Amino acid sequence: MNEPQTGKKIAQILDQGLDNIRQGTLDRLQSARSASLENYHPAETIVNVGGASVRSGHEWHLKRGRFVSLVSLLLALMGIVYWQSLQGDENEDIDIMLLVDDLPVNAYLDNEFETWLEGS
Amino acid sequence: MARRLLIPGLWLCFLLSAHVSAESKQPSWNQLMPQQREILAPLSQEWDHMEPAKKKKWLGIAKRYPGMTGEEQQRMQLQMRDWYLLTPEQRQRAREKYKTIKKMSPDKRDEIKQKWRQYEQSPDGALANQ
Repeated sequence: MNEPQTGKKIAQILDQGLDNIRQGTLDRLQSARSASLENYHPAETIVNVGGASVRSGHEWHLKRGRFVSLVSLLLALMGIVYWQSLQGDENEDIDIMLLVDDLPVNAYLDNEFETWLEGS
Repeated sequence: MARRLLIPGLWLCFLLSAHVSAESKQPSWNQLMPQQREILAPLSQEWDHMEPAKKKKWLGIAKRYPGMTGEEQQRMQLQMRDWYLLTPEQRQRAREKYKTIKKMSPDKRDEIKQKWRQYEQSPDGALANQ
């Protein structure tokens, strides 16, 4: 007898047996099923057993997480502003050198001069 | 871990916000010291409408002004207002060109300066400067 045939045979015997189960056995199966279902979410039960203090601790943890994210965001924004102010200082040096140079600013911006320089 | 980072984080926030608010408070023309007003005279009309960051930059330049030679001071004051009136793009273009020329040999730089003087006196240059 091959495997599927054996399986079918077992299923038939079990189905026939269903009709002949005693009421006491049925009751025990029913109570075992109920007990299993009651213990189905163990993690959730633990949190509830802890009561208010456990739950409020959890909420505080969530709030702290949000607060840390907010502080990080603020820091990032302020970092950008600070970086921009440093950029300004960097330009200050080059602007001073440019303004005191004996080649006037016009010379750098005069496209005609550039063409004239290339042609001469 | 997060709690240990929280206090230094808040402290850093406070320091940075103090820095940013100090940046935004820059003096008006009347609040400047007489020496600063003298140095920044070419910008007197624009000063009170100027952005705080620009004021800060010009005050930094004014601080370094006494250390410049007489010729440099003169050139600085002559160009100050023209420089301020340029668009950010024009200023950036001038900076880039200045950097390129600065990298050249002293001889090449002198040659460019000499050619600028020639160009200014040429009909092309006179036309461009009008």
